[in-house]
Amino acid sequence: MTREEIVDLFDRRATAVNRHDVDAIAAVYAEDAVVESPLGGTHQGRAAIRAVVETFLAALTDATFTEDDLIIDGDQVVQVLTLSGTATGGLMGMAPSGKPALLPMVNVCRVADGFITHERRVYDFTGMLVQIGVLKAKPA
Amino acid sequence: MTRDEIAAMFARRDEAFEEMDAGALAADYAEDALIDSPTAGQHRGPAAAAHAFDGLFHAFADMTIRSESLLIDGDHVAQVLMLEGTNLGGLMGLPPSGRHFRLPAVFLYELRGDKIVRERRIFDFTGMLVQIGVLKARPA
Repeated sequence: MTREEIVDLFDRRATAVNRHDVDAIAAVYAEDAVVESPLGGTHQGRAAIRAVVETFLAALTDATFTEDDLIIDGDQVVQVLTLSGTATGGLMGMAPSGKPALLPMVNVCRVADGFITHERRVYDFTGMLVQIGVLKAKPA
Repeated sequence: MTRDEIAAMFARRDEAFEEMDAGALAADYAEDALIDSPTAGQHRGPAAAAHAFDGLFHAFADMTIRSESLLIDGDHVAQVLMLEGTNLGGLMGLPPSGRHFRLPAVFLYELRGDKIVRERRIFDFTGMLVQIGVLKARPA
């Protein structure tokens, strides 16, 4: 893929993510794409990817993702984002806390033929769970 | 810097990490470099960077940083890593727990000339604190 095609792919995903359009989000992944995510573990295929994204967005119903940087090197892409949202929907069986979350996130991706084929999401997942009140943390 | 020069710089940094050479790592930062580190907080310049690396290597005397990929896009660089170590020296004023952590991380760099002017380190920092026994986490 050219640089322009990759930028366009991630622009389309950013638009879909901020509209919480889970079908459009799933559509940017290859049919057999693999995603490694703190929330969903390693999962494969558009249906599984869609389900994990849907769970995440259902927990933070006002979540917005601001792209800070897009680093492209051949077929590898690192997307740097800032997540802002409020725990209005509940997660992992916990009731919604109404607490806000604000944190940086990184998606490490590989692309081919117009799609994301592999993605690893790296962020302070445990810290996010503490921020939104799913976990309580205290000094050991 | 050319792509080859940047790749060589980061290969050298990988070796300096392996040798826990805080001075060699710090020498790559510009005087006004801004570093966002979950373990050391936000700090500026080579002297502060050396101090932060010394603290890290004291806390995790067996620390290893395995570079999985390096993305170079002009002056922007993303290093995808696996961090691993044992809390042998204590952290945040707490005694050593002897507990081990292992987690993926992404370090993001911006270069000017042959120096690093900006660095952000993204990983599950809270999860690391739980793994090494500095924090205890439980369902809220």
